Amino acid sequence: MLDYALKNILRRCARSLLIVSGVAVMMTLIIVITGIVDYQIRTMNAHAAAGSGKINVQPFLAGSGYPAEGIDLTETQAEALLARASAYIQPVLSGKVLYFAIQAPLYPNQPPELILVGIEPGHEEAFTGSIARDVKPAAGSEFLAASQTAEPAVLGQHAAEVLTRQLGRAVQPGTQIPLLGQDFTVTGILERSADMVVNNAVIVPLEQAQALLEKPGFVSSAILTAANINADQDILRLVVEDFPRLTVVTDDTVRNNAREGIKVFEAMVNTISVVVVLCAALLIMTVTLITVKERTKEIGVLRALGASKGRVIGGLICEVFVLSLAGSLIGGAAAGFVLAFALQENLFSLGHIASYLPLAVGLTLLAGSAPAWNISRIMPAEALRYE
Amino acid sequence: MKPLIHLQDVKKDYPMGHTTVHALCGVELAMEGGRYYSIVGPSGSGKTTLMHMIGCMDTPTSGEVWLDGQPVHHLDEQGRTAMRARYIGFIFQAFHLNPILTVRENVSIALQFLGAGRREAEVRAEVWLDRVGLSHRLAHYPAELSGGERQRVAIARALVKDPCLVLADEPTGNLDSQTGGEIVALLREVNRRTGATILQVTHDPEIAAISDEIITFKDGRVTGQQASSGRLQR
Repeated sequence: MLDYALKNILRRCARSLLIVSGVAVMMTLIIVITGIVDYQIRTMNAHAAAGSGKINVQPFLAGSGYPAEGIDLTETQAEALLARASAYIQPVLSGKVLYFAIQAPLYPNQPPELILVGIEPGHEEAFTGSIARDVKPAAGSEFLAASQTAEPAVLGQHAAEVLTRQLGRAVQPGTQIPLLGQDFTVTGILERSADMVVNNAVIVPLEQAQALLEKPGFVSSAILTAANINADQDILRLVVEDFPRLTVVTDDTVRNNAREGIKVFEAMVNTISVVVVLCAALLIMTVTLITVKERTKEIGVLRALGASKGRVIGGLICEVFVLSLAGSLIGGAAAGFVLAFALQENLFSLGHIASYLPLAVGLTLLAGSAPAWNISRIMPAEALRYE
Repeated sequence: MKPLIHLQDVKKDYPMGHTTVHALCGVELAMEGGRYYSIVGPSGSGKTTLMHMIGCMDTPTSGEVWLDGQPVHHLDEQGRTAMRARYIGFIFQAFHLNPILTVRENVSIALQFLGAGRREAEVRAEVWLDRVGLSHRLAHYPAELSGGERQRVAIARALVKDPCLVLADEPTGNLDSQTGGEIVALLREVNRRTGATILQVTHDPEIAAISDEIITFKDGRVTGQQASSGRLQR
């Protein structure tokens, strides 16, 4: 019956293509959606786990997001906070910072793709993490403070890659980059960090960022690095008591935000996946139902010639199985291309296809079995009368 | 001598909406093996329904159908399928060849349902296609054949398994009179050469004349059974 099934597949190519396309689209969507979710969750987890002990103090109205953007605090307030907390912080690893999203995030719950970070030269490590512990400029490049350039910019690894793509030429120390209508000279490129905000950052001197954004005297937050393991509690108490209009965002806050984001994201994606699966099942069932109905007379003849019910069902299932297998493999390959294109990362693996293959084939068989079983129950005489 | 086919008070009703159509109304019939029978009667008289009862394609509402001494009205679906596969060959008015299979495959598939291997089935199919004069058309598809050639393929398909009974439902209905004459002549020859019983349904008295016996049918009942000339009346 496999022989007969294969002939049917090849000779009825429009119907076959329709089923293969349905399965392929379903498989592509599911693998792409789950691939993006996996990627998202992985990066969000890495981002949340990359706590460097930084404490961001930002306007209460800016909420608990990091980096805080849109609602500013005055430089005077930030300076008052840094002065008041001076006993509990490491001064070089603390400072005022101004954030501005140059390019929106590609996916929800992620930091902007390119973010302008204005910080006082000499305090860059307040944002990047200390050189010894976290991230440092790659060989041959330097921080803002060491630069002799008038408009210096230090880039995170991802920011450098994005700008390279956009400018169409390699971005390296010495390269001129246009930012919001002004040219800056790249003086340093940071090594890859686990912190996505650092990776996406274009770090410039605070004064120039304020001038560029027309926000003189304003910053987004103050970054405080605790002087010792217990000092963060003192900083927290100090902010609550003395600065009621400010709020504290710690690594824990970032982690909790990420967890919430992941939960919502997973729920949304699971819902989409279920809808995709149901739509695909409906499509396959409809196509199978129509083709089986259309072949009622042919099945009646086969039954009249002595084909058993099992042989007829077996033949139809065999057809659906081959079509769903082909659709799954095509869909898996297509998903690999889409993921590689969308995420700029090769997430394609045969294991990924293999994990969804039983779902796609099982679903198709289930959708195809009902019409096949139904048609096999018709008396041959009745099937021959069918118009 | 025990009849090959024996029907006893066979009734068949079809529910049609709120009414019931009585397709067969107590049919009594006996047919001997090795002969050529024709059932004649007007359209809607129940000829095809009767053929389906004899061919194990449908079950009677009541009554008994005996085939070669076996009570087929008692058989379940599996038993009826086995009877059709082994003992009965079908020829249809509209040929009902499978458009995706070649001529050779259309004939050999009937043997494969009996468990024959593909190669063996194809060899036997070629023998029968040669007998019906189609050895030059083995690899063609039905769409590439004339009406007469298609019916010859259907005849080969019905006979390739050496059935004891061949049921032909209006075998000349879709053919011109000359081709129709050739087809019934072929059936007659097959009947004489193989000894298979042939039961054809027709409403054409000239075609019916080729048989040994003509059974007249009207309103779901047998109204007469008489010997015929055994020659085509043209």
